[in-house]
Amino acid sequence: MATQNEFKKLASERLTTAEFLIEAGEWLMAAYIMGFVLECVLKAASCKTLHLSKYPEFGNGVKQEVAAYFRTHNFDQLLVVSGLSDIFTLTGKYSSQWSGFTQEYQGKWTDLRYDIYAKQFTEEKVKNMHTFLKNGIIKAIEEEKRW
Amino acid sequence: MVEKLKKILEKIEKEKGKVDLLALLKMDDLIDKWTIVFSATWATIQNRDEVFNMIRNYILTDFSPEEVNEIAKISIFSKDEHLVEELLKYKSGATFSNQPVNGNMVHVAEIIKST
Repeated sequence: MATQNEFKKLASERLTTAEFLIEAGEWLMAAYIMGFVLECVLKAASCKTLHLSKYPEFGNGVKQEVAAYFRTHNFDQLLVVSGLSDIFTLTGKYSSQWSGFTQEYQGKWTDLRYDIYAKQFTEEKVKNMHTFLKNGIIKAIEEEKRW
Repeated sequence: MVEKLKKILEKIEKEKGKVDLLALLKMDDLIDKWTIVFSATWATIQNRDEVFNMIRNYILTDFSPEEVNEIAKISIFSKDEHLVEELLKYKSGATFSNQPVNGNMVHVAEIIKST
């Protein structure tokens, strides 16, 4: 699994990919890639919070309940592991940005690749998601020096 | 929490107007936290931050710290959002568990207001 810096680099590169997709009007795919970006961001923050040289992988010997927190594509679970709950949950000063972005992923972000969700992702919605992610969540993590 | 949210709903409707949907959903059995789903015709993308902060401030004032900690997020949607359309099929006061909504499993739902 990747290191903190590798996840940061990946997040930055895929955010650029999402921006290309937005320019091309590919709303569903842009939303999908932005989900991947947030996952990379949270995993990078987890490495810093937990002082891990690499994001952990678990063999079959590890309790599945523990492994599930790290393996998941669910943002609320990844948030717990990242140690960023203090800034993104309701008492945190960036709770609006977190809610605004993650509300669009009602299950796992990976499910968005299916076309059945295409109609739900309009230009206005995806551009707002991009603002919440780039100027809200990522900016907050940088300002707070949490990755 | 449901009773407290009903009181918050009264305050919001008095201040801003009719609310179409207010629901509490638990969609994740691992972290066991609630998502508040809110929809009103006057709550738009343009005033989303204002609406979010209004709901958030009422929750932070009226809920205990333990109850606040049980809430993962406040989701504000327009009435034509698919999730909202699905939840509006239930009546105010309805509860259900372990049902798929908009393709995702809802473990527990409390429909506080539905029009």
